[in-house]
Amino acid sequence: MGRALSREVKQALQDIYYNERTGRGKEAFALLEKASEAGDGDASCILARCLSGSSYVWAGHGFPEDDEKAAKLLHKSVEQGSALGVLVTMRCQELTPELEQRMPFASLQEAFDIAHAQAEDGDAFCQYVVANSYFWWDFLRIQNADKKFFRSEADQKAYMRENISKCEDLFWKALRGGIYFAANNLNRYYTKGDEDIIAPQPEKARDLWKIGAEYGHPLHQMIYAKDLEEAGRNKEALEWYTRAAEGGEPEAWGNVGRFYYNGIGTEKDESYAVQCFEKGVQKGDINSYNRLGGAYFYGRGIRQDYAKAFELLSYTFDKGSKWGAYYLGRCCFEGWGVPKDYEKARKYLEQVNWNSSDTCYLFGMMYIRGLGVAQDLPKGIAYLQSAGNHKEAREELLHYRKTLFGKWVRR
Amino acid sequence: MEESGSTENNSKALRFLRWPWNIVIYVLLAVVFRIFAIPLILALTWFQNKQNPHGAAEGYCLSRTRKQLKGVLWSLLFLFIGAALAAFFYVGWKKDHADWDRKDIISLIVSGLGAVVMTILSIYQFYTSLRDTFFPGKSRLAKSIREQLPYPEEAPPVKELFAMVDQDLEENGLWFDSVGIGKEWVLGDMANRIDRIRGIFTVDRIHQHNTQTGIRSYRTLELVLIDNRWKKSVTAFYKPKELQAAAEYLSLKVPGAVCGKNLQYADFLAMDENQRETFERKFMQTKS
Repeated sequence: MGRALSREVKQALQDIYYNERTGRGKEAFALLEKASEAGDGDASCILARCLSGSSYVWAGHGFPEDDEKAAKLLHKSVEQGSALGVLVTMRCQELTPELEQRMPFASLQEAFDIAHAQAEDGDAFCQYVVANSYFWWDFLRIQNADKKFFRSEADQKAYMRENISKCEDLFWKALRGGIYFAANNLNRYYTKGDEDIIAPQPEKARDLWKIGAEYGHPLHQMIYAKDLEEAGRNKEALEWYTRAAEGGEPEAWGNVGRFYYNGIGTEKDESYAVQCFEKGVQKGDINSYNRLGGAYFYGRGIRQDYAKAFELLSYTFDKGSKWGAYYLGRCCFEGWGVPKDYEKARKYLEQVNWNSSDTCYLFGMMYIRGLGVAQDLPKGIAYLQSAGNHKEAREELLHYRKTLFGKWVRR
Repeated sequence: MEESGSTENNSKALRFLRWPWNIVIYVLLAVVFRIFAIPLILALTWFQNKQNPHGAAEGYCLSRTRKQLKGVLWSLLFLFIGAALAAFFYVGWKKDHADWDRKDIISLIVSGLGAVVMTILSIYQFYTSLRDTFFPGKSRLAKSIREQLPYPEEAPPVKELFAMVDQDLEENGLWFDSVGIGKEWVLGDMANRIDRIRGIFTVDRIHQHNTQTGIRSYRTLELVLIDNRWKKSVTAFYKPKELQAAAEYLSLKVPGAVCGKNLQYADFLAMDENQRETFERKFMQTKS
């Protein structure tokens, strides 16, 4: 039960968190696995974080997500005597009384003190973990503080405020040290406060993402770019999206491509946009898959290829993205790149969850001609009418007229 | 399968009167029943239209030229008016002119000139009606189709000309009142190639004038199409909604064409050579 982090853990923290863009994430992961096997509890704890998904580790590393394995590793870290492991396990609601019995610490306080000392030694990950214990009120359990502990409500509030506010300085230190996740909690701390104990201070949150971006965290660069885009500062937004993309942020290439595809904040360059989407696709970004599918569908920036568009968009559709539902429906309706299948087309088009005049037109045609649905002229015409100014819908509508008795008939 | 289809067509063909039997029957009805023949003729016409819409069985164009035969009725009306005016003139001429004032002299001159004009109009109407009906190759419609071709002087015989328009309308035609719009042709009182259309105008005006019994009003509904030689063709409509629908459908087919209402087409026609060239360039750019 050493107080200091092992050399392997320090190296892994550097490669996974503090300098995530070095591209040595996979090696660090292997190093942690080895150390964990050798009995290093801190390594097991960090390894568990790596397996917990993009909320806990940078998605750019491409680590697999495995909650079950992560929970097992957390248990293991506690049993291996990692103070950090105890705090992280407690945070994940995995520290059961039985597990607490098995930990090689006299009390939770002892584990906390060790982690706190590690944080004071200057390790950003430890600072983040300890800050979380304050921020999420875990200190109450650690200090065994229940209501009887306090003389009055005011006393309790003062105690809470004193402890919770300790997280602020620690989160900042963690952020500066390279744990960019600290900014998320800081943002929450500043914008929402904490019940009636800590008052919100939104003005302090304003530059958080910018600071993170300037520290070089790709995720923050992307969030900052999004903020800039919303503020209409497109040129700067593109600059930060590009930095995030070059830093390896998976979603960023899709956004860079989108800017070039539509000529936002830069000259339109559809061919370069497609290259960006392809890079995003290599990183597994769903948005890039969609955009590339759209480019293939329209033949913009690349040779038109409906089959390829269908392949890309059906992949994202199966993953739950509805972005390409219209294109998929259209391909099935027209038999572009896939055999004609009106039934399938209808299923895709039903998933279009935005007001799409193109979709209304296709539904109109399906009901008018009885394609994949029972023929229903009035319903088809109602769809065409709801397509608004859609040229083909307007043209098709003119093929019908209402009789004196209000019945729609073909001219 | 094919056989049953053709039997169906034959049985349908029997359900309406083919040219010229329809005319023969109308005339016979008029002779036998006189004024009481009108509702019968109207009912028969409705039935004919229902069974053979727009003259599909005989060909749309040919059917249209044959309909010009009703112009003979107009020519008879003009002739009747002309004769009445001539009679008025003759009686006036025979009278003693000694105590005539200026009003009487003007009446005599107007009736004389009117008689001449109405007679000429009647002859012209009679001639054009018979020409269009019995010599379709010389009809206004055939002429308008020929003019729309790239080399009018090398135009095929009228049968082929009409077949060209008929086939397009049969395959792609949508009908708005009596105007058929296909993929390439618009068939109204005259024919227009769609790719030549540059102006689409609707005329919907109510005219009023005072008569001895009060104010009389009538409505003009017309589709005015102007082509790339700045020639206009006008087709009358019965229903305003159909007129609007036809104009909208054409404007969707020719997005670069100018659309307007009533006398706006006069401004369009009044463009000088330079303006027309600029417009044509712009139109071609929009098209490409």
